[in-house]
Amino acid sequence: MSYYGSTDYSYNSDFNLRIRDIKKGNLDFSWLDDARDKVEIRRSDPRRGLMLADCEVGPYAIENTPEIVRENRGLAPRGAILAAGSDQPDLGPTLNRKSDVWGYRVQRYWEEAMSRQWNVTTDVPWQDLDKYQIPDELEIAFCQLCTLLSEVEMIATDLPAKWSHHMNSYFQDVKAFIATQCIDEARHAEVFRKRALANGVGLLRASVRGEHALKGILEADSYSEGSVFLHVLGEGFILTLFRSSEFISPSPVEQRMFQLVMQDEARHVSYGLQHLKYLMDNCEEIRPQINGFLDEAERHLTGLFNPDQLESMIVLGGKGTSPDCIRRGIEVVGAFQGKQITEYFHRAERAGLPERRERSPLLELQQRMLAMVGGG
Amino acid sequence: MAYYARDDFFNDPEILERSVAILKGHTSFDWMKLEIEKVKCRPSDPRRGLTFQDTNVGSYGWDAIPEKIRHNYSMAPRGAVLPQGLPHLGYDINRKSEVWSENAPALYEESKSRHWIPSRRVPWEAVEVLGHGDDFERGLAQLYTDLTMMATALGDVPSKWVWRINQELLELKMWQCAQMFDAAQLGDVFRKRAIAGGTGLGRDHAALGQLLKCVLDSGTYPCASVSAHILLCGLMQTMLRHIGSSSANAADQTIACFGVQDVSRSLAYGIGHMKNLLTVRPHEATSLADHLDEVENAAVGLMAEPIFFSALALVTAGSREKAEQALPRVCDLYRQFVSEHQQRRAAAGVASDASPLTGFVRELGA
Repeated sequence: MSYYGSTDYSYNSDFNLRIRDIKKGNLDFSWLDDARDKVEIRRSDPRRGLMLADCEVGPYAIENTPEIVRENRGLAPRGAILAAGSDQPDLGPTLNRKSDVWGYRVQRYWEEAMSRQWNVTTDVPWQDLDKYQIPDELEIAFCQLCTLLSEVEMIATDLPAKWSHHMNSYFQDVKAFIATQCIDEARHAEVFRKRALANGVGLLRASVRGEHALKGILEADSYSEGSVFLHVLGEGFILTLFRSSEFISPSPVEQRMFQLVMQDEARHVSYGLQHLKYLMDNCEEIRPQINGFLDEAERHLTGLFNPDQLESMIVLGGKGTSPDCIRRGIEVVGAFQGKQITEYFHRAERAGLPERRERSPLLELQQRMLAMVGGG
Repeated sequence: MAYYARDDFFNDPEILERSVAILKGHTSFDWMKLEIEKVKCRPSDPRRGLTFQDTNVGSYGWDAIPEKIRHNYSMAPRGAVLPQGLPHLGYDINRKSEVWSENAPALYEESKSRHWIPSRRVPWEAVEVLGHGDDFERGLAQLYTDLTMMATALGDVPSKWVWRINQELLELKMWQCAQMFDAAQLGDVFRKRAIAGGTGLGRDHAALGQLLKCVLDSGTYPCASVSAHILLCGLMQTMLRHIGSSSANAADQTIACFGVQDVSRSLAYGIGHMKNLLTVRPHEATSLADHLDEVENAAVGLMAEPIFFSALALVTAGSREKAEQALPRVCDLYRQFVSEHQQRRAAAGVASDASPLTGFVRELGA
């Protein structure tokens, strides 16, 4: 036990008096008389139900919350009447600046996440796997890809979880969105794991270099650094990979899987972008720190391009291991890797970091590789 | 940046050359020749789909997780081939009994299949025309404010611990993600309900803060689990049932119904977790029971807190004027809660003769 409540009620004379009061029926209703003014809340669109945005009025609105929350050290929701400062136990939130965690549109992402939950167990047509004859080499390659994906997806539950409980409860919208991300990513790890185990092969080899990238994400110094690495860089790259599902899915079952995970991943990337944008708009002084962090994070990220992954993608992209298939697979993988980098720079630009294009080591690496491949 | 890998992979010429060789078509495909356990897991019941239970096979299954995990500190999925050089991701909860419950995989599956959407499943039109008085609404809003804070704590507990738990315990971590999600959903619906009723959120108060701090600042995960899942969820379940039966409003009844369903899952996990832990490490029963007694002390503080007690009395009676007459019913409600709580403690193996809650209800009845 690391915290003992301030009062031991078994040895407390005030408490005994209180119990006597309760038994006598002396109820204190003073809290009814100093309540807040009434508000009128209506659903802006009854088909959508009561949205968070509909409740954004007066003291309940985020726009009326100061950049630095000082008065709430407990778990009170935004807009509650706070206990007097000296009475309020300090639960020790450390993320108390709005710009530490907030992102434009986060309330919308929360509502969207709630309405787009799906179920790996029942929404993937597992029984259809028997309908398609997947060649062994494609099945093994897909299982190698699934191994990597189930390995990396859980970082996107661990990193947000690591920071969520440090967030001031006034930012409940962000905490709630992060909880949806945790369940989304758990579902992603689940779907790739189940798929690897479902069709006669199993899980293959984990990635040493990929794991170092994951460690870099998990051990980021701040939530914002972790978020930019995870949401913008890491999940952005994975999202582009999911988008190439047409080429890498051996059957419609896998295509369905990718369609389902893609919508979640896109939401997470969007939150990351909107957080970064909010941060850049409101906290310009942090720009050098974020850039310095990304310089290293982008180096870490290249760990995801390990030989096992590269080769399995080539087999899947080319639909086989014959020389023709490999040639076609290399074209597919080359195109999609280029797209990963292009889309990342595009996202960074939209979030207010256009300098990444000039500054990033990724382009230089890509050019070095292209020169070496082209050089014969 | 806090972490710099020992090797600079980015500037490693060997890695670059290997990648270039592959892109030139010089593939090795050595990963295709790995010796692995081959499995074909299919739904045992096609109506239910492919459940985790269906994948609990061989080296991939949770039955194969050792009590003390020594072989893998990375994020490599359980059953995968582990190459040399995988880094340590910093997990410091590496004992299965520390966190595991046999019902966790099934609870995760249940959580997904029972997902509901607060913005749409609650008949919010019923809150636009309440059909009850202002004081009753303020009483409800106060209880919903308390429940919002409890739900936040219920989400913060897994958030605080899940990232420290070894990846081999995958299904358990996923269940904790489901708990975070359920808690966020509950926090959302309770807060919306309090605001939408028109009187708005009620008061934060020290007694509840003390209880939640005791839960959150528990020194170990088992201590956090027993206090959050057995005590706090039990209290929430009682409050929600009471709101559902006291309010004639359809929105409150719906919220109570879904809320009870969600917190009951965590209760089931808490009991299962304690049973499993104490089967493996029976000597921990005393310290866990002591811890729970201490958290119960804070719960006593909440239950006797004037604002909490009077809000319950008001909601029970239906109006401020009749609240005094409802006191015996509130005391009955407390007795019922404590009785159920003690049964759960006994079922979980953490019963105590010194339970402050038992002493409290005895005192109330004397």
